[in-house]
Amino acid sequence: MSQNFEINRANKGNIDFIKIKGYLDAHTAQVLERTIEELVKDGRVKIVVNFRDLEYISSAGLGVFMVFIEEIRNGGGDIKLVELKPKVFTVFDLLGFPMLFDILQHEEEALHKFQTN
Amino acid sequence: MMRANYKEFFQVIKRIFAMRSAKASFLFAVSKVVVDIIGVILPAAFGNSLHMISTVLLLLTLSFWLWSVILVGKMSESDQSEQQRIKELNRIIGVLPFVSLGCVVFTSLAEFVFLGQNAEMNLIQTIVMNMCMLGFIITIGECVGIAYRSLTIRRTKSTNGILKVLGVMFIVWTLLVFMDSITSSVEESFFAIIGTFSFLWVFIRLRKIQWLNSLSRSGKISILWRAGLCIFVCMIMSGIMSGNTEANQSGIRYTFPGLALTLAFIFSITGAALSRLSISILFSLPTAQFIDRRNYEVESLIELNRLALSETSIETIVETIMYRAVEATKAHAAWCEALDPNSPEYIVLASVNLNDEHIAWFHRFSEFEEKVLRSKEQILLPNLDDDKELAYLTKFPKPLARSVLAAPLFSGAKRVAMLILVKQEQYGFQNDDLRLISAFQHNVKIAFDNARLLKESLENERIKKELSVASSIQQNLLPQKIPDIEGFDINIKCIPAAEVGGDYYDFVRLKNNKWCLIVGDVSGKGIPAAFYMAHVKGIVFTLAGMAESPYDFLCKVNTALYGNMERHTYITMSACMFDTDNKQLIIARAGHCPTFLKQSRAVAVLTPRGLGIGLAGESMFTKSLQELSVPYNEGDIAYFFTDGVSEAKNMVNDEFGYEPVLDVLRSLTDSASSSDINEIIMEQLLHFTEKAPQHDDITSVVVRCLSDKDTLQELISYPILQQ
Repeated sequence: MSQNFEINRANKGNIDFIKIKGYLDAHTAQVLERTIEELVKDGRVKIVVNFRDLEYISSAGLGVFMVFIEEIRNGGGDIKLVELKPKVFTVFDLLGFPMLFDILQHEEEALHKFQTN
Repeated sequence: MMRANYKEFFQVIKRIFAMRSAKASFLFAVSKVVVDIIGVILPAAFGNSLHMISTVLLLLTLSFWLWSVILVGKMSESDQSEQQRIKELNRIIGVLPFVSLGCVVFTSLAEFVFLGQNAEMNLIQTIVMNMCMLGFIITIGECVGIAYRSLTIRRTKSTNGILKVLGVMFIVWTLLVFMDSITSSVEESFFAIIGTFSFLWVFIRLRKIQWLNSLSRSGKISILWRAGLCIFVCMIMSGIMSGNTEANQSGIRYTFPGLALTLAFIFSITGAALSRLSISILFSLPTAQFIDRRNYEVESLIELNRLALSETSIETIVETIMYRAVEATKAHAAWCEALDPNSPEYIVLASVNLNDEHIAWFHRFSEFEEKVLRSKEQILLPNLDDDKELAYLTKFPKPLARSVLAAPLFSGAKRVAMLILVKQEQYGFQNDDLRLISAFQHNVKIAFDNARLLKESLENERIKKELSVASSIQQNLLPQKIPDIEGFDINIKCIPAAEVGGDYYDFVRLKNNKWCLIVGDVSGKGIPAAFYMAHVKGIVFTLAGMAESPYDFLCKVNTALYGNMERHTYITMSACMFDTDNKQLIIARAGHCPTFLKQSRAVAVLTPRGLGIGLAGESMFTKSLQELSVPYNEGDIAYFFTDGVSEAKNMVNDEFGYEPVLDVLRSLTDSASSSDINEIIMEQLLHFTEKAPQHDDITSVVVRCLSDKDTLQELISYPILQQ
């Protein structure tokens, strides 16, 4: 299962970019959860998650973003979600995520938002 | 030990006495004594005929006794194992010298006491001499028993032939002997020929004695000692018994001329058999240790195989292999420790001749621990004295080890334990030991693997059972019967992906007493989802009666659950109130899949706003939640589902989506009932997914608004359907 999922990390200044690829389900969600956990532990709370290569997200996969959001926002940061495929966006949208998260078109937009806030 | 031998001997005698022929023999013996006594009391009455009768009775006693001995030998052949028979033979061999010597000494003593008295025997003399005679008969029986048993422990093609020839020889000899004692006409040389022939016959023909190989070295040595003593006694005896009568006018041959010669013959036969055995044992002794070891190896491997098939406890397996290894390699001490890859600590599973302190000494030197105690393969340190660093092990208050053999034990590819054998002498282990230990390693691996599999399958079985219980409990949490809601025809299909799942549906009455359908889905699946589902059921049950509307209801549920679940868990839920008074459906959606509504020809996808339950606090949740009021008409259809329907996947991972269901709804005829519709949707779904495994729970709800006519029909058809 987990071979269908990949995470690439990069950072620009104090902003971290996580690029996820493949299938995000109950199994692979744990990998992503650990990645975000590591960042939060290091006090890196400005996170942009790029969904460009994500094919599928399950309900358990969605839950990962809920785990740290409170802690991150209390620390003055945020998780911004960018480049969601329409199918993936529908899943987020049905659940009402656009009301909870910043869902944007491009990484630059997210970068800009972080820098201006 | 001697006492046990005598016990065994008397047991054999007892067994012989139990035979009918032995009892007859005893009767003949008694009659002989009586005849002899008559001869003493009335010496002149019957003349020589009494002597004749006495001799015949003696012959009868002897032959019946020997017959019983052979019968008993035959009996033990059929109901004792070879090992038991060898043991019995060994014991009889051990007893024979004492019995025969005892007889001879007693007889000689009697002769000495009676010596010089007149030639005519008195009453006491007659009785004593008859007792001596009985003793000799028993001795002859003993000898015959030994000869017979050593010939028949393992029968071969030639056994019966040898026995027959011997039997004929024995009868010829005995008849000649007794004829001689009566007529004195047989030449000594004739006896010599028969005796020598029989001796050589037995000695040469007793070839098939492979059963000796099954004895351990110590068993062979024990037989060898006893047989040696026996041969010695046999030689002396046959000498004494066949001593020349002409030369000395006393001695046993003179007193019991017939019996003595018979004894001489039988002693020489027994001596021949035992000599042959002894020589074979002597030749096999150098290889005995080797054979012992092979036997032990085979036995150990059989034992390990048995364990591999039946034992689930790793400790028992480890202990058995350790004791077996110690025994086979003659190690002085050994221990077995469990390995934990995550921890430097070791756990001693079993040990022989070593306590924890000793074992700690072995662990003291970290290089030794690294190299030997954590070795990935067999390792042999033949001489610790050579190694300065390890020499301390040879010194310790008492020497712990001078040579060490360590072997890892595997389960699958995982090293789970180490077996360490030590000897207090240099170069204590040989290549043979290494080979044996690797055989053990293979067997232990099989035993471990089997134990693991057995444990796993038992565990799986248990989990399966518990899951099936959980599954039936969860089925009971769902409504057992869809309530009759006036003007609606409702059908629900719920197919969990596993035994238990996170899908939930229910019918509750709100505060205004109106029915409300709830369809929900806990994020994730399996057991965690099922737990939350049960939790949600409780909350729904409690809060429904207090809620004014679906909107109010979902807000209350969210308030109750928010912050009380794991952070990554949430629940999506749709609630639909059937407002039959105003002919409208009131629908609210908390992050759940949309509701499809078919009105006349058109099908709408209703997606009122709403966050999933548990994602946000009260204020945000209430702010985001929307409620829809949809007036309904006869024939309208509302379709509720969980993502198990829309996200069902086929073999190439395509999703089912909304379209197929929307198509079904669009193309419906008015007459289709809710169960027909649901059936069609499920068929489409199955057709789509084919053989792909179901990933998520599926809940599919069809609500059909009935026309008055339908309602009427329903009412009429209901009792008919009941029949």
